[in-house]
Amino acid sequence: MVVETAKFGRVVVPDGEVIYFESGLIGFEDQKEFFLYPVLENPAFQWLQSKSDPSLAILLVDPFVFCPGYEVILSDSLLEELAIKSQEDVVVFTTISFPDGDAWNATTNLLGPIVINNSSRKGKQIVLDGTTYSTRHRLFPHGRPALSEEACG
Amino acid sequence: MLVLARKVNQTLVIGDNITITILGIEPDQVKLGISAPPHVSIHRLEVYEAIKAANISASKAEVAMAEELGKWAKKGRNAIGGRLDKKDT
Repeated sequence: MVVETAKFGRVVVPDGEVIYFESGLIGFEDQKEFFLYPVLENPAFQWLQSKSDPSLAILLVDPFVFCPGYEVILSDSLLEELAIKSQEDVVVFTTISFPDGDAWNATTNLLGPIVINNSSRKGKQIVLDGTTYSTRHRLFPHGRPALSEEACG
Repeated sequence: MLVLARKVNQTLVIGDNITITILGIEPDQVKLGISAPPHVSIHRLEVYEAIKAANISASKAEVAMAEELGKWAKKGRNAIGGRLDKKDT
């Protein structure tokens, strides 16, 4: 199908690539269908674009690239809800914000990751209750990184 | 707002399939046991509000900023060797 988007123009989305969020996203509960749109040449980042709202696109990052020690524990009810049968099915993303518009002050929400089952194409934003993860974790604690510097400590 | 008084171990029922049981009462805290179908999300309000704010903030990201970030990780891949390639996705 062809989807109109505010950021990427008209995008052709194969039916099998739509991801269904039964509960929507927190604060966007009425948005149920999304698809991933790439950030050019960089697979660590993806846009999560709403199918029904052209203006709703959220930038996601693979948190494990930046924070190798990040831990997401999936509850049994989540495994059931997303029909997760093997670990290989699961992709975890976190959302990125630019609080002051500067890319190097980007923060990511480690408390509320987005879990997607690539096989069933079901997704959900979960809350890591009982952890100390922040909703505004700086990706680059020291601002623009030198080439040899790693992000996220 | 409906206000009901309950004692420890007493339960409320909401709709057909949500129950809330008072498990314990301390001077400034109550412990609740909530049972609900998996599609019903249950959050502490302050956590819900923080994540909602983060999502709304995230929805304002612009393409130029994403591309700027993208440049770093590409260079970073060279700088820190194979580490980025071991990502779980």
